[in-house]
Amino acid sequence: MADLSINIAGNRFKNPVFTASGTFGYGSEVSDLYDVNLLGGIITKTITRQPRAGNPPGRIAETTAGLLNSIGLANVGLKNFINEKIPYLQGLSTGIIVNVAGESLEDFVELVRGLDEFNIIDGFELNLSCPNVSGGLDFSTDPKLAFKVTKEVRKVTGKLVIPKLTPNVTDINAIAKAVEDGGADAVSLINTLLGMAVDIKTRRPKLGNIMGGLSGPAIKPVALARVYTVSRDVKIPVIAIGGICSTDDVLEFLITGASAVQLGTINFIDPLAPVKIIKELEEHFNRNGISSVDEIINTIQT
Amino acid sequence: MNENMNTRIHECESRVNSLEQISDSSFIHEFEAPEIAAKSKPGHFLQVRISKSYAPFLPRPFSVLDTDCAKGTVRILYKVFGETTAVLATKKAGDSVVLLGPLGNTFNINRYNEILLVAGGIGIPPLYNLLKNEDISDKNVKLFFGASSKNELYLFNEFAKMPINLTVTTDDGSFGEKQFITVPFEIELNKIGNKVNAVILACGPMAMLRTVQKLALEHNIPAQLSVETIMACGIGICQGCVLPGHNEKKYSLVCTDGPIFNEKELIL
Repeated sequence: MADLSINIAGNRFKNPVFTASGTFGYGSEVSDLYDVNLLGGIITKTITRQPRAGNPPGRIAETTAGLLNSIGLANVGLKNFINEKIPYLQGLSTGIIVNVAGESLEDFVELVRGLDEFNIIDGFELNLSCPNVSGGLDFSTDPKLAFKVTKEVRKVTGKLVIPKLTPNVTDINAIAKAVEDGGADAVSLINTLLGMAVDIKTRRPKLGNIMGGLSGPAIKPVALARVYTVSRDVKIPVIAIGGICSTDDVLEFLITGASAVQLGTINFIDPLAPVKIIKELEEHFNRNGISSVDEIINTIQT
Repeated sequence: MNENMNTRIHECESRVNSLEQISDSSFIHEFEAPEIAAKSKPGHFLQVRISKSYAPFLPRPFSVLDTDCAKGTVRILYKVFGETTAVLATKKAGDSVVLLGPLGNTFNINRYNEILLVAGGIGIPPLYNLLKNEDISDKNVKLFFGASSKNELYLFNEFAKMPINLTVTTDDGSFGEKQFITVPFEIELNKIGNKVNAVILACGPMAMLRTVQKLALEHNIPAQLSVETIMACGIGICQGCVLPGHNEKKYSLVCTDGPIFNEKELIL
């Protein structure tokens, strides 16, 4: 039997399939559908220090094989997350990565400091790159700032620190190397691509916020190329995100250099996809005599 | 893989039992979905996915028209409006779709005995579901049903047979009075005053719901308004389907806080 478990900087996860931030709520929403403990891990919705109501509607627009969103980091805020969401997470046996975002260096540090005491949390994904709020983007477009925020967060936690990178930059590798130097345990990429859609009848943008983040299968080739280049440039594991919808997609990213994957928009289309994919991945490994995930990572023939 | 869990929401690949065209562009589909039929209550909705490819990409939400627990079936009534409904309307008996449900909250008429229903066109399904599946024998039920024209007064013959008081209007005057349904509805509200055990249930276009909401507040009668927005996931994880509301979060999720809201919750 194949062993699907993976190891990221000393932290063991059941399998390489995580659910991406912003596409899985706080975990409890999906427990009406399946046992979320089957997942390799859950990346929570982005948490900010104060609650955020999010952007005005329309917040979503369907595009060709993709989805534009301008949710605007709607979330309950740090205090409510601790009081209302952590108790649910404490009952789980899957990996828990809390995604955090701030408008300042201090925000990131205080969020991680405030959550570090909870044993159930395996690590933090730093949302350096949400395209829907001003402030955050600077951290992911400037290598110096990305380095600094990673380094400061690193000082206050021994848990995993995983900066999430935007593709909306000239050189994503420079940012990846900067956060590696800052002490990141892994990087996750890519966040959504900045996009837009217009209603030709009303001549209005389909999103209330005019522009938003494009996700879904439409961006998969872009994500794959970024994973390919970044995983060759840094030594830390790369966690791939970007339109991953099937077991074949997962294999494609692992072969290209990803150490784990996050399923995002597919959760909106087929909320059971993560557990189906985990099962199929195990079957694929067994059928093809692959005994561990490590055997397939970065086996691309070029 | 989730058979062992006592799940509230089910996903199933569902066989089409029948497809009935009820007007130029409107259809009733019956699907085999025993788990969903068993748990669905009036007001619930379903997500319907018509293709495993990515075109169209998102599933679409549909109100449940009715369920038959004995047969294990669920029906939806819809009008062809965009790409998804156009393809859906080609799905014949024996074809399959993927259903997710039941989703959302439900109507509640238990403690009321004066039931005022207001429907606009294709907003009729959840109210039909209520009349068909709830015991209304000891209640006084009035249905105000407005449509653009006679052929969009869906299921009119069935309503005519029910023990309810039926008022009908059309925009073009092809049947009933030529006016908005909110006009006779307001006259009725003026007539009944603020009866303590009256409730308003409504589903239809936003402009109609806005008027119903205003009238409910003016007459101090509680209302349950079923609304629709562009939606992605249907289960509260994408946060995409919000409408502005009066709660501390500023916005309400139509999929999980609704789709039914009281007259005070939303800014329509």
